Amino acid sequence: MEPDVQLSDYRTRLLETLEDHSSHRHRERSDFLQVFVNHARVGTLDCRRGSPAFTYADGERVIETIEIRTEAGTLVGGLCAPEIGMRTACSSLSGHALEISVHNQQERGSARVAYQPASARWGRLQQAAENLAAGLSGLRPVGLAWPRTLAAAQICVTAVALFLITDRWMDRTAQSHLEKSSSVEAAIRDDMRSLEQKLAQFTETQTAVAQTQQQHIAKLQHTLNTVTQTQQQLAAGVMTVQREVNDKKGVGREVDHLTRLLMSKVDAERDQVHKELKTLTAANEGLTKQLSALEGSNQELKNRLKSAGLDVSKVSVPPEKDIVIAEKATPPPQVAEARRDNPAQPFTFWVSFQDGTSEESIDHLMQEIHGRKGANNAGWYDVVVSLPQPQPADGVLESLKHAKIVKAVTTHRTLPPGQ
Amino acid sequence: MSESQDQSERFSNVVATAKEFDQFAAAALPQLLDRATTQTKRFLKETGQWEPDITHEKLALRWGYELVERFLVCGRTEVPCRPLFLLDSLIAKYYSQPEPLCYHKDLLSPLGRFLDGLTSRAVVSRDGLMALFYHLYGFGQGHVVKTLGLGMAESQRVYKNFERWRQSGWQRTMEEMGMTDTELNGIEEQKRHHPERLNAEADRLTRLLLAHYRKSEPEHYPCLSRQKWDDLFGQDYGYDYRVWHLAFCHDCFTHACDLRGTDTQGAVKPRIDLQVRPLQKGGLMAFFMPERGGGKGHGTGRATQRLSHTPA
Repeated sequence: MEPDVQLSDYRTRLLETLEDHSSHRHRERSDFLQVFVNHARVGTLDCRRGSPAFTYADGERVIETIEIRTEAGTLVGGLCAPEIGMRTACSSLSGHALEISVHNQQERGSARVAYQPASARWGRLQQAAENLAAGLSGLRPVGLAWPRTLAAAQICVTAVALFLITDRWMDRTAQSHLEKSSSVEAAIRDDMRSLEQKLAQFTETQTAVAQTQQQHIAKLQHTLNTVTQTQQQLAAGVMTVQREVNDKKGVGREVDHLTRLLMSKVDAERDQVHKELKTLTAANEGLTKQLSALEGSNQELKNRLKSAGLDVSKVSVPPEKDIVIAEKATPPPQVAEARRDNPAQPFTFWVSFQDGTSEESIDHLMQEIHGRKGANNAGWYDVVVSLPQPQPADGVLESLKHAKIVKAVTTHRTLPPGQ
Repeated sequence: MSESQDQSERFSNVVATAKEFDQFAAAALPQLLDRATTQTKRFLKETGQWEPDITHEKLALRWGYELVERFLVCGRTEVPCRPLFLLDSLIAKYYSQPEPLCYHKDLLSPLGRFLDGLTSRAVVSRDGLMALFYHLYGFGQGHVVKTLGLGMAESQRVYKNFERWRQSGWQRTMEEMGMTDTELNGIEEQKRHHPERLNAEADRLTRLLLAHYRKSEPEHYPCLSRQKWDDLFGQDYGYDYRVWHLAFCHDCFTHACDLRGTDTQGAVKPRIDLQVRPLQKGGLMAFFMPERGGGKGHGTGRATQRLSHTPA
């Protein structure tokens, strides 16, 4: 099937269904009715039992729509609720009445649905009328002709009976009216008199009430003035308290600021101390290495001393032999030269003095050890000593270490302390 | 030209009484439907859910139809009013709700539309609600009564619901959804040849649909724990709760089936077993026959129901 044709068929079917619903809606019958509020099912009405009613309240949102559907889902009643306020609707359902009321307030709403069944006789009459109408319009099957006739007869009989009763009642009313007209006139006069008396009493009472009300109003005004004054005082008190709170807040801010400054200073100092600690640790390590290096050089000097002793013993041999040995041994020329320079070999080392040591004391010490003091580099002085004889450097160093003004002595400054 | 002017004047006129409203509505039904459909199309286009094909056209028509149905009932209480303006405001109010339509591309397939029609009908129709247990899980009347633990009066209602659904409800739902015989036969054909695949697809779509339409329940119908369901069945209360919630909540229905022990295939979870046509009367009789013999009845009964399917 072509899509357009399919669509057209679908539209036609939906229109037929809508027409069917709108024409048959009032004739729908159901034992149970479903109540939908805002498109959600909230309850049912059991229409078999008397006059059931269903009440629904929503404390969180307003009610927008109410729908009443049969159990088969047919929509038989409904109401669009106002945003705020009340609305009531009444619809007919198979001769019975369906009352829907809704009341919306700020963010809450309530609804009530009540089913009012028609009285038995009226219900039968209406049903018969409906059947008759349906029969006359030819919509009903032929098999229902006899019940329809019976219903029509019932309608006729009821109408005639009603006409007769009304006619009789009218006659009786007219007769009794003529007989009682005079007595009614007297009664009216009495009533008028009593009404006038009551009116006078009412006026007096009203005057008294008005006076009382005026007194109450005066009292109320006085109370109101008192309350206003109290309120003003309270407002002034609140202002004062607010001002104080603001002042306190200002002081608090200053204290906070100072605290932050102090804390930042303390932090900076702590960092500095940490850095110095690290420097000291590094210096300590350097000293340890220098110590080990000194020990190594000490060992070397000892070895040299031994070899020097050997050389001295060789020097005591006769010159001819010495020449021969010298020719045979042929020691390296550098070593020979070194041996020749030994008596005036300069020995360089570094000395650190105690804090507060004067230059004079240092110069005095230099004179004692026949040394020359160099420049001061980070608290260390390089000192050159000319050893006049094959004197071990350890002795000079040991003697220096024992001097009061000397803090430390080193021969190697590969890692300058404090740098 | 003059005819259209007359028409527009007629539509913009004020109707003063409910009778006038009815007369107007009866005369202008096609225009009302077209207007509601156009507004729905516009909503779908504005929300990026529109495709120019017949399934979308049908969807717009269906929603337009439902809006006009509400307008016809609620409009009578709004007189005096200008009906077209009233319809526009009703539509605008409806589409201003969060997720007013259950729109998903997969739901536009014949199977999706079929399931959408059943589920949306179950929201407003108790007959459709009871039938949902059959169409989704293959549960007959006896199964439903036993699983939900209903009493005598409620059981009678279930039977009435099934009867009305069989007589007119299913047909009306299919017509309102625009399902053609060809499409229904196609689904049945798929079920015959690839039942597992069809049921898996139906399971996936059903979860989408139930999640959307369960929102139509009032807030006092939340999911319960297994323990609370046990209490509810044990203390024998909340019939309405059982019916309305379990039809729309697969997880709670699984708890209930497990507690009531009515699953026919011995499995703990009820599985989707799609049924296209409504349960026929023969199926009902066949289902109850083994019970008289004192047997458990469920397995045999269900099998008999399946055999008894006849196209409506």
